[in-house]
Amino acid sequence: MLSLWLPTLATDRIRRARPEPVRVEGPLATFTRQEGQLQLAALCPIARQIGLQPGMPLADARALAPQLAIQPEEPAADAALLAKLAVWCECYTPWVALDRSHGEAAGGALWLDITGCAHLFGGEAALRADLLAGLRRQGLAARAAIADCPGAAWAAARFAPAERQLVPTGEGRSLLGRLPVAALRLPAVQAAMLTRLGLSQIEALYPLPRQTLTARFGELLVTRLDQALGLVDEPIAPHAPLPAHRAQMIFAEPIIQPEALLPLTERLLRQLMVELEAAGVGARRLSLACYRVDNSTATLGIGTSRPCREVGQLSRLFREKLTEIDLGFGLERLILEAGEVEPMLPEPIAWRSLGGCQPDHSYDLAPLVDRLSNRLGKHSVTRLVPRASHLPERAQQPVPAFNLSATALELELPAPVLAHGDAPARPLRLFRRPEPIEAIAPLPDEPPMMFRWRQSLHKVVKARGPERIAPEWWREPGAAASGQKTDPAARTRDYFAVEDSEGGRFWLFREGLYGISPVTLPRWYLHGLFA
Amino acid sequence: MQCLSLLPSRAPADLQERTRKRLLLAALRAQLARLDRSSARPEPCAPASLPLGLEALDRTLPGQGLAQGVLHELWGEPHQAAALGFGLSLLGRFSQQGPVVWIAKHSDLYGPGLAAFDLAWRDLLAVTATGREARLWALEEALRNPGVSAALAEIDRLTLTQSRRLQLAAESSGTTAFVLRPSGNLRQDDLVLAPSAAWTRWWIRPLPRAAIAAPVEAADRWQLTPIAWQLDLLRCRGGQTGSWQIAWQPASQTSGSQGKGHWHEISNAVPVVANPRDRSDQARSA
Repeated sequence: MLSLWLPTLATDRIRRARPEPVRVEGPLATFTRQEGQLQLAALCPIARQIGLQPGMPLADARALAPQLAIQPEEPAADAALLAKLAVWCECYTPWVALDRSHGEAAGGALWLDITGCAHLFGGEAALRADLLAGLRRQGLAARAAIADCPGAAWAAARFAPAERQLVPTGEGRSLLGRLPVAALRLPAVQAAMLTRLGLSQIEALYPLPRQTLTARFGELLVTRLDQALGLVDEPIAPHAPLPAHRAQMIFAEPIIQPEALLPLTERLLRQLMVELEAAGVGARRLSLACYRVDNSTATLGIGTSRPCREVGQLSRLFREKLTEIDLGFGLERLILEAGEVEPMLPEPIAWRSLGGCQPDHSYDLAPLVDRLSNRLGKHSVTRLVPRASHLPERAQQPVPAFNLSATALELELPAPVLAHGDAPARPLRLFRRPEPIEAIAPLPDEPPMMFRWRQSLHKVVKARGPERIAPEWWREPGAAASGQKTDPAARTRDYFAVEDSEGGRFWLFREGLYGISPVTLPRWYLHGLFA
Repeated sequence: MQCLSLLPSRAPADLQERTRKRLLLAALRAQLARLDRSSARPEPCAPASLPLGLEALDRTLPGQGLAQGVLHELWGEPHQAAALGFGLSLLGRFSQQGPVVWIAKHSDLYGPGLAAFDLAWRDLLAVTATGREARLWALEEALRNPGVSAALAEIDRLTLTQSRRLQLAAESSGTTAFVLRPSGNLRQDDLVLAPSAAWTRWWIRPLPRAAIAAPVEAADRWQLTPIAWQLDLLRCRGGQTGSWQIAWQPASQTSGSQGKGHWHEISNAVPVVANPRDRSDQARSA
């Protein structure tokens, strides 16, 4: 387990955000408003050297060090930077967690579970050195310690001298013994009390009976002691759900040619698919994380409408997106993860054509749906599923073809009423929002004689109607309960199918009835077009 | 050349010359036909065609039906849904062979209205894409999938190169492509001449009630017209152009056609000659 501590995260963030010429060279601190007083929050090492302390009133600090540069505290920006660092640290191990065991004032901290990863970097010492060097390049001061258990690593990262931060197996107890009790992740009050009682070093706690310790100082002290010594387990939850399947590639020389990305991705895909095949699953969602040499990352993801293991099909989905990646100064690492996997179906979903009434006629549309959905967005590739509703705009629901299961396709819904007379009752195009028109009707309940739509005048020669469609009151329990009940008569629609002198056929409606309100007059809308 | 030796030696010289020319021409024609479609098909042949079920139309079209695996253009006024309706009635025919794809800028296609054209919601994949390039890409993707039987896209502008690309994509898989294009204020001559690699070009306008009904019936304000179109075939590769007035009979009204809608020709109709350009002229003068 590796514990990473960034003691001056807040000031380092401010310092590295400034370009070189205006960079603050002197002492730097952030301040916060506490009980109406401005106090120092985070301090840079220089500020600490000249004797400033966190919590000191800003006026005092100014008197002590007139050259002090100050900035307001921004906990959100610090947290965002730490989250970004956590993602970056994933190049060392997939198991990275945010360490929240102390307040924000002490910078930021991360856990890295490097079990089984250290040998990839040439051992624990090399991994730690690489990590610290990487952070230093990014302008962040950091301390890191590696120990058998999280508690010991935490203590060593903060209190042990740098040369002793690599705690060998079995030597945790002796190392911890010489560290102050504050290394046990205790609240400051408790640590201070223990020190006052002469128990300043952890060693002093070893011979004391557990029962007495618990009775005097509470359960936390004993728990922390056991955790530091590795006597009880301390689970660390990773900040992102661990993908079960991943493949990665590290390059000796950074990749700077965009055209090299596709073959590399295909190679990763082949690696990953072997793994998935062994597990008997197919990928639904894949993400490709590209680590640039300047320690920034770019991620792109694809999805499939059904579990898939076809390298060709998946690489076609990636091909569209790979061009969007900015290679920057080059990529040094590619990680492909299967974020979501599902058991492979025995056979592809058949997109049956029921119109043909041929049961053996089945087509696999899934590759097409995947390609279209990945580029245009899954809500742009839909099937128009009918829905039981009187309101025309609610009578159909576009369902992403990506999500539509085979069972939904089997679903038989009642066919809507279609034609009366020779002409169909419902239009072919229905506008999502009815378009307001200016209409002139001779009598209140008559269809209009003429109307103006999109700046052109249409003379009505034929009309059929009205078809009255009332609002669905049962879908509005909120409006009825809150008392501000809108009059359903004001939203009742009378639909007319009309034909203009050129043969264009339109579906108009009048919202509201005449004579119910002296203030608001009914309005006319155009809702759809007939063939 | 072998044939030449079979000719009687005493035949006049000009007859020999003519035969030689004819044979040469036939050989060149065959060579050209091979070059023309060498990539997609092993043998030069007319594409398969789907009979439309309307005798007058099928008689005019080469191959007795609408060519499959090629690009067709449908032109119509964007504020009227006539061209869309004709396109969907064609898609309805194609949906019996496999799923169909509809690609447009806005998702305003209305499912309950589709049933009149024998198009079930299951058979239709509705794709919306704002950009024209994205729509062209989606259409090409759909065309390259052999599972799709036909695809219709609403595309306002189409260059010759783009239409050729679509035509090749359609040929490669045998999927039929339709592009729906706005006629706007274009005149018939402009429509005929607009460059494109499409196999056919249709112009569809709604047929007013006055054009098809007896005057007494036409005067009845409450009698709405059934779906009826003025259909102009402006261009047709390897065939003749033509003009028809047809009406679409939805399925529920017909008894003898296995629950399918069908077209029928309106015999006594007055052809629509009104020009969209005339209307704008009128508006300007008024």
